[in-house]
Amino acid sequence: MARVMLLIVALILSGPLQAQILVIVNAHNPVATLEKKQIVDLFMGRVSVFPNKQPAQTLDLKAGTPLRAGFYKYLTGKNEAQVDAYWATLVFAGRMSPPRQVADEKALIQEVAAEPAAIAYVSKQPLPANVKVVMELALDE
Amino acid sequence: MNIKSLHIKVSLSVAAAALFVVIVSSQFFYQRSYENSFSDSERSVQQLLETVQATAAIAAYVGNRELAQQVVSGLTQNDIVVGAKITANNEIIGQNGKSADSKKNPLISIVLHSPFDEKEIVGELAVAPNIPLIALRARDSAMATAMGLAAQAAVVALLVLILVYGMMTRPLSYLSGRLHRITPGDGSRLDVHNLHRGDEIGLLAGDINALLHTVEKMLEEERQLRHRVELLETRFRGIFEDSSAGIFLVREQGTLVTANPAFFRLTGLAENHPVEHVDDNIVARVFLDQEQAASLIKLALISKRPHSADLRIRCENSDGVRWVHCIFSPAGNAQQGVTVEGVMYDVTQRKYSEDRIRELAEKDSLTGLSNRQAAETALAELVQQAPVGGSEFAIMMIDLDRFKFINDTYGHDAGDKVLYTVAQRLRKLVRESDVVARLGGDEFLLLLNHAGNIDMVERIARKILDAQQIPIDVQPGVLEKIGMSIGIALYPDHGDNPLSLRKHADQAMYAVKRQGKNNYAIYCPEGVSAVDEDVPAQ
Repeated sequence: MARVMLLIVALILSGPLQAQILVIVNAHNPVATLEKKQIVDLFMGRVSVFPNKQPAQTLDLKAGTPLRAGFYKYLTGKNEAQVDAYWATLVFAGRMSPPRQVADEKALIQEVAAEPAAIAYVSKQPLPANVKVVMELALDE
Repeated sequence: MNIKSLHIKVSLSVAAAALFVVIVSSQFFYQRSYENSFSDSERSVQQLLETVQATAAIAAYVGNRELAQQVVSGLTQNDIVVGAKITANNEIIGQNGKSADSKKNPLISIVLHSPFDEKEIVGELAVAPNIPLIALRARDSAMATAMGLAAQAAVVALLVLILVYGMMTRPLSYLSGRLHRITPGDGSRLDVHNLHRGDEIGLLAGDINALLHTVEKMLEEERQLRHRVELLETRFRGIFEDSSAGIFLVREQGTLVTANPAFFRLTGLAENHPVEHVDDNIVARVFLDQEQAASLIKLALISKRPHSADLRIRCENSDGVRWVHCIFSPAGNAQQGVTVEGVMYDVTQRKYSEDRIRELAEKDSLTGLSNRQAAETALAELVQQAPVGGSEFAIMMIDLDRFKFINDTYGHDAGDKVLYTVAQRLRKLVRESDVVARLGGDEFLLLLNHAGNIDMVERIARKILDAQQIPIDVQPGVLEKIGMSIGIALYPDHGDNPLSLRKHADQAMYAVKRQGKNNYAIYCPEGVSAVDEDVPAQ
């Protein structure tokens, strides 16, 4: 446990320098890997299904989380505020809602493990067997 | 108002120019303004599209029909847009208003990119602009511009017109009108407003005034000159017309050029004479001594100096001859050719009185023969005129015998009658050219010209003596015979001067008296009188 904590601390400390984000899905999900564009389309609400037409449910971190800002910046080139504005536009038009936000990465992993359609992102860490990585993002800053 | 007046011309020109400018420029500006306005509207549509581009892109990206609908509805709120649509994946996800693909309304469209990837095209936003409205607005705007321009041009033209009128045409037409009414010489001048002092109009007025002044001065001088000439002419004409002397102008050939009334009065010619007979030789007509007059005229012309003489003229309206003193002076000039001016005074009275005086001085009042004075003059003249060795003449001295007796016996009247009768006889017996004179008392003198030889003289002497044989009726009923003693001297044989001739004739005469009277004797130089003894003494 102490070793794990140490690792986390190390990870957190080293995060901004060579942060690694993992996009994870349920282990039962037939999708093996996803392209960056496919992930953008999923998270920005353009598509709601995986390439194999299975429905997908995107999960997001709470707003203000550094990882969340980093994730969207990397994917869309936009900051958090812009992304929120984008969603606000769509929500105002109706019938569209942004990805559901979850409190932290731990809860995220649990949700993905429990829900076969779920897709989420977490920082690079050892993952339980019931989730798998479909893409690994390297934030070179 | 005169259609040709400067003001009308300028007005029409300015109006035409302004109209031309308005037409051309308003057409140009209308076109430009229309195009500008049109492209402005198109740019507005473009800007509208750009405004909603981001939202439309999102709608197209996610294929959200609600959002797309919102966008197109918003677009069609604008009156310059009649229709709008958003296409994504070849599918219309939002449309509002008119069908945007009608041929009249070309679509204005922009491509919609993915909000997250500039390279990815996610759809298209197209609007149909409200072309009629845009065109209408463009027209309105262009029309307003053109109208503004026209109004501006009209105002400028009006201003130009007013200024040109005020500053040029009005002063000019004023000047022209004033000048038109001015008659040179009436002293009026053009006046110019202070505004134009120094400019061309002021200069023009000044020059015209100077010209008027000069013309007036010249007119005045001309008038004075004419007046002086008229005065002079009147004076001269008066002299010419009223002169008592006849003044006339003749050409070299003797034709009359002009003459004054006195000339016609003197000559008795009709005044219209020169007009009727231009070629008449007036000199020949007027002067009795026409050769003399003609030679005087020639002399005056040749010597270029006046020549005068007393001449006789024919007088047509009064009998007798009139004498005039006539002065001929050359008076030729370029216009009239060679002419001679003649001035004639009537000197008939003077001539007659002169003759009378001469007669009185030279005649013996009783007998009408020459008197002693005349006889002596005639003798002196004869001696003087006789050329040396030329013609000879005789001088006879006659003294009556018994005259004193008759005078004393019968009285002076009888004596006078004797003297008169003898005188008549003597005059009859000699030639007209011979001089018969009564020297005084009963003494007579005869001068016989060209009495060449002694025989002829003696013959005359004898004829004279014979003539005295007829008795003279000295008183009623009383007849007396008169004898006479004649002494003869010959020139130049008996004397070469009047005195010696007289003396010698006297000596011969006294010799006759001494030897018994009633005879004649010729002077003999030997001192002894040669008495013709044949003549019997009475």
